[in-house]
Amino acid sequence: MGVEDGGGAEPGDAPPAGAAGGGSRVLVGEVRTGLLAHSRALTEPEATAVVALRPGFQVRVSARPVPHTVSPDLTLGVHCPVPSASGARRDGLGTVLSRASVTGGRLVQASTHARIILGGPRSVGRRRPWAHHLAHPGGIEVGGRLSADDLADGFLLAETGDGPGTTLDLGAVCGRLLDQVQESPILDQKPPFRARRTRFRFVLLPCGPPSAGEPVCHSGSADTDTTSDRSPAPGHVCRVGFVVAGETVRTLRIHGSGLDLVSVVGLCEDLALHDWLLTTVQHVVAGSRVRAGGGGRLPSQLKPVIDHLLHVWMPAARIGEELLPVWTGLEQRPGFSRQWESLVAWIRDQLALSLLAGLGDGAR
Amino acid sequence: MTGVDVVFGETSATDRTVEIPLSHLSVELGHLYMEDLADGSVDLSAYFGRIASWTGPDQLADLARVARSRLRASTCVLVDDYAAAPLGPDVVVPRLIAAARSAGLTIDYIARESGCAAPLGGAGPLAGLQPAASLADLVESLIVADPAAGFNGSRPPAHENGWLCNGVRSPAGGARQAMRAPAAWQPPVENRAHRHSIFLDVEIWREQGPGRLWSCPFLATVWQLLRLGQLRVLGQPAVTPVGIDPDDLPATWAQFPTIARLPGRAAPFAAYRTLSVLDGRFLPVEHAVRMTLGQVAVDPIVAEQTLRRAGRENVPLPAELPDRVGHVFLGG
Repeated sequence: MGVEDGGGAEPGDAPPAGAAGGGSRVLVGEVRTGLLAHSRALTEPEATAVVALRPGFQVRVSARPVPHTVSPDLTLGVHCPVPSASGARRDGLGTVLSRASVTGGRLVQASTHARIILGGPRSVGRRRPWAHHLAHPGGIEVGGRLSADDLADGFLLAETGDGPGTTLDLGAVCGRLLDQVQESPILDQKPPFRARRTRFRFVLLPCGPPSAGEPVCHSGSADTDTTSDRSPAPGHVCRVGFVVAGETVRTLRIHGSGLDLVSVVGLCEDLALHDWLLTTVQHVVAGSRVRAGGGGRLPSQLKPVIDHLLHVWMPAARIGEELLPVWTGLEQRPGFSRQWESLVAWIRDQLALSLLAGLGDGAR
Repeated sequence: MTGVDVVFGETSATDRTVEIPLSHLSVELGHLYMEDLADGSVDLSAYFGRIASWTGPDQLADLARVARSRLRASTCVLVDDYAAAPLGPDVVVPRLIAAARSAGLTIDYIARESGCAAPLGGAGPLAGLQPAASLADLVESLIVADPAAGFNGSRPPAHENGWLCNGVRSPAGGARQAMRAPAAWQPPVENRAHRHSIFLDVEIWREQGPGRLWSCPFLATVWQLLRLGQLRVLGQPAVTPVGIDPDDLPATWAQFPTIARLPGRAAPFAAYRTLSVLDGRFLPVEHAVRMTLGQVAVDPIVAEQTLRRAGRENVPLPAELPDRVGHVFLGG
C-alpha cells in the first residue's frame, strides 16, 4: 500500500482551517447489500416488520420512486483504537450508528457509520462521562494526534472488516445487522436466485488540498477511479474517489465541506444499492452469455433478474442537491447508468429473441 | 435542468415525534415504601415537613435556573405498589394528600410504580410495528452499555442477563482446573475512574415465573425518564397524566392511572430537570439510577426537541441526562 505515510505528528497534517475545535472530523462507514432471503418481493407491511428492529420506535417508509423502508438507528458503544494506515494506535471512545433498509421489497442493506472526531485529550482519565457520548450519538472521540488521511487510508484499505483485529470494526457490526435482518422469521429463506453480498466502505474528509498520493490507485485490483473537481464552498463536494477493489468490495472517498452527514450516509447507501444491482446483473448476464444460443430460448437465469431487479434501478432518487455532483461524477466515469442500460438492452434482446423463437415454434 | 426547484417530500418518510408540555422542574416529594404507609406509627406530616424546608420557591427556581417569577414546577410522588400493595389508592392517596397539605405542600401528580412495568396499552401492532411490551422493556431497549476498553464491535456486546455495571467485572474464579493453581483475584475496574474505582453492578431484572421482575432501581430510572419527558412509543408520549377525582378513588392500583393528576392548576408533569428529596436510605438506589441513566440513549429526536425548547426559553440545560437529575438526601 505505501500511501503517504501518516506519521500523524507532521506539521503538514494539521487540520484544515475551519475545522472546529482544532480537531477535524472524518465520517467513516460501511454498507452491505444483498438479496432478501425471501421467495417473492415483500409487501410494505412485511418490509416494515422486517426492519422494525427496536420496539417503540418508528420505521421510515417511503413509496416513491421505489418502496423503501428504513429501520430506526441502532446505537453501539465502542472503545478501541481507530484504523490507521501508519499503524498509529489512537484510542477512540464513542458510539456507532447502524440501520437496516429494504428497497423494492427485494434488496436488503445494513449500514454502519461513525463521525470520528480527532484531536481529543489523550489521557483516558480526562475523557468525558459515557452520558456525554450518548448525548452525541454516532461520534467517536479520538485521543492523541492522528491525521484525517491516515485514518481514512487505514479504514478504506483494511484487508477485512471481520477479522480478529483490535481496531474499530464497522464491517462486523454491519454484517451482524444484515444477518439479523436476513434471519427474520418473516422471511422464508428461499431467495429466487443466489447473489453475493457487496461491501461498500466510505469516508468523508474535509476539503483541503489533495494529498500527495491521492487519488491514485489504492490497490492492484483497482479498475475504476473517478474524480471530479469543484471549488470549495459551503455544502459542497470537492473531490470524489471511487475504487472497485475486488469482486465485492468498493470504496468511496469524498472530500467535502458543510455537508449533512445523514445525507452523505444516504448517498452511500444509494450508491451501494446501485453498485450491487450492477454487479449482480452483470454476474448473471456473464453467466447466461456463456450458455446463450440454445435455440433462442431465454436463459433461465435471466427471468428472476427481470422479475425482481430491473425496476429497482432509480439512481439518486433520494439524494440532496448538494450531493448530486457525486452521482453525476460517477455517471461520467465509470458510468453506472451507461453500464446498466447496456446490460438491460442485452437482456431485452434476449427476451425479444426468445419471443420470436416462440412465435416461430407456434407457426410450425 | 429547467431551472425550476422541485421539492419532493413524503410525509410517511419522516418520523413524527410529538412534543409534550414541560415544566422547568419536577419535584419529587419523598418516596415511601408501602410498609411506611401501612405503618400507623410513621408521622407522615413530620416527614413532609422536613421535605418542605428544601422545596421553597426560591430554592426550586435556583435549581431550575430560572427566575422565581417565571418558574414552572410540578410536584409528584411515586407510590411503591410494584412488589406488594396491601393498601389501595382509596386509602393511600387521601393520606398522602392530607399529610403533604399539613406541611404546606401540594402534590400535583401521583404515580404508581407498577405502571412502569405494566403492559403498554394504546397503539396495537400497527403495520408490523411493535410497541414496547412495557415502559420498563422500552427503557431496557434504550440501554447502550458503556463499553469496556478493547470493545471494537467485532463481537456482539455481552448480554449480562439483567445486570448493568459501570466498568469491567472482576474475572469469575469458578473455572479452576486440576493441577492448575487458581488464578489470582483481580479487582473490578470502573470505566474512566477518577484515580480509584467505585465499581457498581446493578440488577436490572430477574426471571420470575413467566416474566421478569424488574428491580426497584431500574423502575426508578424509568420514573426519572418519564419525569424528564424523554419517553415516546412510536413517536407518541409513552404516558399521559390522567385527571382523577380524590373523592372517587379505586380500591386497587390496577384501576389507577400510571400517572394521575390531582385537581388544581398544576404545571406540566414532565420537566427539563428533576429534583428528588429523599431519605438517605435511598442513596444506593439513586446511585444506581444515575449510573443507569448515564447508559440510556433516548430517541435523538426527542433529545434534540428538548434542548431546542430549553434554548428558546433561555433555560440552561445539560445534554447529559444524569446531569439533569438533582437529589437532596435527608439524614435520619
